[in-house]
This record gives sequence, C-alpha cells and structure tokens, in this order.
Amino acid sequence: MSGMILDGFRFFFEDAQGNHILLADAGDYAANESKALLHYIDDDYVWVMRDNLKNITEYIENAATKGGALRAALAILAVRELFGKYRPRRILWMGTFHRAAIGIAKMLPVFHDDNLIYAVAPGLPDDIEKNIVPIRTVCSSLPLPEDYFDVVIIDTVDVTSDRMAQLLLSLRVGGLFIHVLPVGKVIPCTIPNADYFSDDEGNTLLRARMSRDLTAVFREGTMKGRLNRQKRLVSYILDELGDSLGSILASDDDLRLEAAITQAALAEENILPIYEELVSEDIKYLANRFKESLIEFRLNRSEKTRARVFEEYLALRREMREYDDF
Amino acid sequence: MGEKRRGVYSLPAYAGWSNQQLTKNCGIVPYLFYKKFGFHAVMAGAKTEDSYPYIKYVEGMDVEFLPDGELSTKLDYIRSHAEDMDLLILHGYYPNYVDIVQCYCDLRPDGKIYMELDINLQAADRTPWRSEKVTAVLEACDVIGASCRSMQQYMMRKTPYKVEYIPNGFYDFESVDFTPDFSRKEKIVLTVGRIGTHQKHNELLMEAFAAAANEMPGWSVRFVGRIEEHFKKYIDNYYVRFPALKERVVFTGVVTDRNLMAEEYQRAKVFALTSRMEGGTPNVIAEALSAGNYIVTSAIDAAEEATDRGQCGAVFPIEDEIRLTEILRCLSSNEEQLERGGHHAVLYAQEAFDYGRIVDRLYYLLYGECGA
Repeated sequence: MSGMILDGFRFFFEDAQGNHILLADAGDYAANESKALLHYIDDDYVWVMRDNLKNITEYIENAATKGGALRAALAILAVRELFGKYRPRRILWMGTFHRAAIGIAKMLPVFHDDNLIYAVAPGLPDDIEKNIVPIRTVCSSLPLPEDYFDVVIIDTVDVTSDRMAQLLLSLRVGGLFIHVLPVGKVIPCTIPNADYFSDDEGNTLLRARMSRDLTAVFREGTMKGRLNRQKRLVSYILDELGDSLGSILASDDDLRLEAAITQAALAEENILPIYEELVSEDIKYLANRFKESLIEFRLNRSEKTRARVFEEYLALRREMREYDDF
Repeated sequence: MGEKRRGVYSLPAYAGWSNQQLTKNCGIVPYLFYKKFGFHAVMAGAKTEDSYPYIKYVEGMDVEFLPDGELSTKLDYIRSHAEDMDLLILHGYYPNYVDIVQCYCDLRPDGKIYMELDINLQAADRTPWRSEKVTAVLEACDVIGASCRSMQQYMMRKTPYKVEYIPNGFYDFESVDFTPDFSRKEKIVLTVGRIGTHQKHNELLMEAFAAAANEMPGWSVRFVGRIEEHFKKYIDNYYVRFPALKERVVFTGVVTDRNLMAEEYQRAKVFALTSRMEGGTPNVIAEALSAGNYIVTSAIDAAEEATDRGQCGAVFPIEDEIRLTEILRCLSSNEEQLERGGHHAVLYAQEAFDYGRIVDRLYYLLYGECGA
C-alpha cells in the first residue's frame, strides 16, 4: 500500500518494516475517532496510534514552528520510531527557514539521542542545536552520499530533475522523501486536503495540503529509487550465491548448503515487496523454485537433485535478465 | 524429564473427516509427522461416517471425534488442546478458518500453521485474496502449500504470499505394497473415486470406451468407488444401450481394504481420470503412478505433473470424448508405450510423489532444519 487518503485522516502508508502506519493530524484524529480505520488496518495499530498520538501531539505543539509540513515531518519520525527499530535517524533538511529545523531538532532526542538533522542553508546561525549538523551552502552544490539518509526534506527550494534523482538515491531503502512546495506551484486538488498524481517516471505521488500556505508532497517507499535498490539487493544476493553454487553443491558441507538456502530465502523475501512492480510475473515463483531445489538437494543428495539446483538457478536468472533488467 | 513431545493437529474446514481422508493428504501429513519426527499427531473432527476402517493404517495417530462439526465446538477443542498444538494443519481457505486461526494464534502465538491450499483454478479465481478475512488467515500461516505447479504459479502471480509446492503424494502404509509386477498387468483401464459425481464426469470414460471397444479386444474398464445414487440409472441405461459391455465395464463399489485397492492398481495398465476439475494433484494420481499405471487424464490443473509432461501419460481436453476415445484406441494397440510409460511412472512417483520426501521438505520449511 503506497498511500491512501481517508476521510478525516491524513496519511496511511507502509514503512520500511512493512508496518501499516497511520499518520494523522492529532486534531483530526480526535474529531474522527469514531471512524476508526478498522477496514484498512488492524485494530492494534489503531489503538497503538491513538495512545501515541497524544504524545506526538505534545511534541508538535511544543515545537518552535507551527508549519504544517514540519508537524508532518516530526510525526513521521515519531511514528517510525514507534513501529520501526530504534536506531539513529539521519535527516537531510534542505533550504528552509532555519528556525523550523531548530524546532524539530529540539524534539529529536525524545526519539533517539543520536538523531541528526543535516541542515543545508547558507545563513545558519552559529549557536545551533546539538542535533543539527550545519551545512552552510546552497542545495545544488552539496555532494550527496548514496543510500544514507532516512528522511530527505526539500523545503520550498527549486531543484532540477537531475538533482532530484540524486536526492532520491541518497535515501535509504524505505526512506521518506518530503517535498514542500509553495502553494502557487501546486496543481489544484480535487479532493479536500489531498490527492494523487503521477510524475513522469510513473511514481505515484501523494500530495496533501498541510497548512494554508504550504503543501507537502510525499513519495512513498514504492518509488523508483527504492525499486532499483531492492532489485540491486536481490541481484547481489543471487550473484554471490551463483559464484559459489558449484563449490557448495560439490562439497559435503551441510552448513554451507544451509547458508545457501538461507541466502536463497533472503532473495525470495526481498522479491516479495516488489514483485508487483516487476515486468515478469514469474520471478517470485522461480525464486521459490530455486529455494525449493536447494532444500531438496539438502534432503536428498543426488546427481538429479544437484542438476535441478543449477536448472532452477539459471531459469531464475534468465527471467530476471529478460524481463526486468535486474 | 525429557523434552515435551510436539503436537500436530489437523482440523477440517467442514464438519469432520471421511474414512478415505485418513489415508489421503489430510491424514498422511500428520501421520508422517508422528512417524518420522515423533509428533503427537491428531485428526480431530465430527464423525461423518458409520465406521472408519482406515484407522488401522494410521496407527499411532489419534483420530478424535468431536460431538459435532460446529465452529464453536472446534474452537472449544482448540482452547482445551492449545498447549499441545505446536503445529496446526488447515485444509483450504474457508471462512470458518478465520475464527479458528484467530483463536489458535491468540492461544499459541509461538505455534505454527501449515495451510494446505488444495485449490483449483476456478475456486482460486473466485477467492478474494486481498480481502481482510483471507488476509487474516493466510498471513498467519507459516507455510502455504499448493499441490500442483500450475496453481503454485497462479498463486504466486496473483497473491502477495509465498506459496510452496507441496504435492499430494503417495505413501506405502505398512502391509500395503503398490509395487507392480509388469508381467502380471492386465488390459484394464482403471478409475478410482466417487463414481457418478458431476466433478468426476465418469460417463465420459464409459462413452469413450463404448466408442472404442470394438478396437480394444480384451480390454475392460473398472470403476472403483462409491456410486452416486442418481448415477445408477445411467449405468443401467448404459448396459441397455451396450449389452456387450456388461462384462467389460465393471463397477466394484467401495473398496475399503487397502490391499485390495493396491491390487486394483497393480492389475491395471491404464489409469483414467475424466474430472472436470480437481483441487491440485488428486491423491489417486500418485497411487496410480506408483503402481506403474499409464495415466490418461483430462486437462486438470495438475495434468502436466500427473503425466510427467507426457512421459508416462496422455492429456485430453476436459469433456472431449472424441479425443479420449482416440487415446484409448491408440494406447490399446501400443503395448510398448504402455510398458515404457508404466516403468517411468514408478520411478517418477518415487522421485516426485514420495510422501516421505515431501513431508521432510515441509518440515524443513516449517522449522528450518532437517527433521531426521
């Protein structure tokens, strides 16, 4: 589920761990509690969210800014911490009214001591919060590492499409991209508060009006950048396995063979979240057959079961090459 | 104190189990978890038949009869046995499994569920795979199995789940041996199952045989299994239309003795399946293959596997009497093809449908280790 607008609620999406996340404006949530999203998400999530939204609301209300996009960003971080693994988050915050970042930074230690905002703006002050790494430059000249940030926020800054691509690649798998546009640049919404549209790469974007003067655009985990990274991961796992498959099958080492089964299962697991976006309908199926052949060989070692492992591996790789350009 | 013995429980989607199901996939899987891995194996359900003579073949597995087949009874049963239910086996997706799965997961969050999704294409097309209820059941399952490749592939394409290939295999119960002696095989076309149901479409074989009988000297057809009441009239009428076939088209009725059943398979050269549809690989296919029968089957979802892609059988389009007649006619004059196919069937059955191997793999999928 890449995003869904529901009456009275802002956002509903899936995080990197596959959890269904409700991101709601606290006020809206209170007003619409009776319309609980039981049809879409498990009761547990609704109730967990309700309890924790109270806390999120407090953080938001105490923040230095009242900007809607900032509230959203903070709430997203909060929700991710609630459902995800607790680890430091890296947030790239580009070109903004710097006090907003400072306001958010004050709240970050609540979620994790080592949360950091990399704030990019030429005029950042000297006395800055400890959770902010000041980068006093303009957005376009900043070198970007790949696969690094958990959240990238572009706040009312114009970026070229090339730069946008680099920014997307700087996100980690499942990372969140927030683009805040001045209201004048936004296509009129037909649905109150939000709508969907597609960009020229075919990504579905979810746009929601977060306040009177700002509109946030959310790109979810299904975006092309993530798809490509996930594909690369699957390819990497299978390449590694392919390189050692011959020696693993020739040896009597059951531990190595079981490691290979684990690796094949890992490739299969990583195909699951993206299989609907692949051109081939059968990569998921063939990955399962490959894993099955390894298990069969583990249980019944013979020339026939060994040969089948190679056949299934080649069938999977052929399908990946022919259809999806892995 | 030794380690606690793990328990495997098989619960029906319907009221209870039939006698025959004890020696089919529903019974064999838990039985083999007992036999191979030392589980406490239980099939629980309401009594739906007067007697269960096949219990003797699954000795060591408990068959527990519930007072009735109501959902509430099954839920009570789960509540009172949850502690022992380390593995729950379910058969197909049915709405009443929603409550069963919920109840089991609440009581045994550490337990495992194997869903044996013995489904055909028609049923799969009607199932709302992404609905809340179906998702609630399937997401709780540790392993979801499809019993034929085409359904596995279909499910992998259409649903967000991982679906494993767990075919309905064949198991040689103690004291029952299906191994064939090809020199003693007779010119028999055998079919086994509930005779006269719409699904099995047995009249197709009767009519095809009638059309080919003159060119099949010495051949006969044997129908083994309970005959549906309404079908008896059809049989009577058939004998009126084809009096010369009375001796050559034989209905044995139910055969409950597995040794006699094995003999039927061993005698036959050809096994015919005329079904309009089947849920995955029918159990009878694995039995027929292991007894060296050449398979003639309608194009059910599992047809390719049933014939090992034509190496030990032939496939005809569903309801196509003319094509079936041609196949029978052709096979009856091709002893070499029958024998070659029969020998291949035995080897193929050992390789692909040996329930011991299938259950070993299922155990590995569930527990990530070899069970032995």
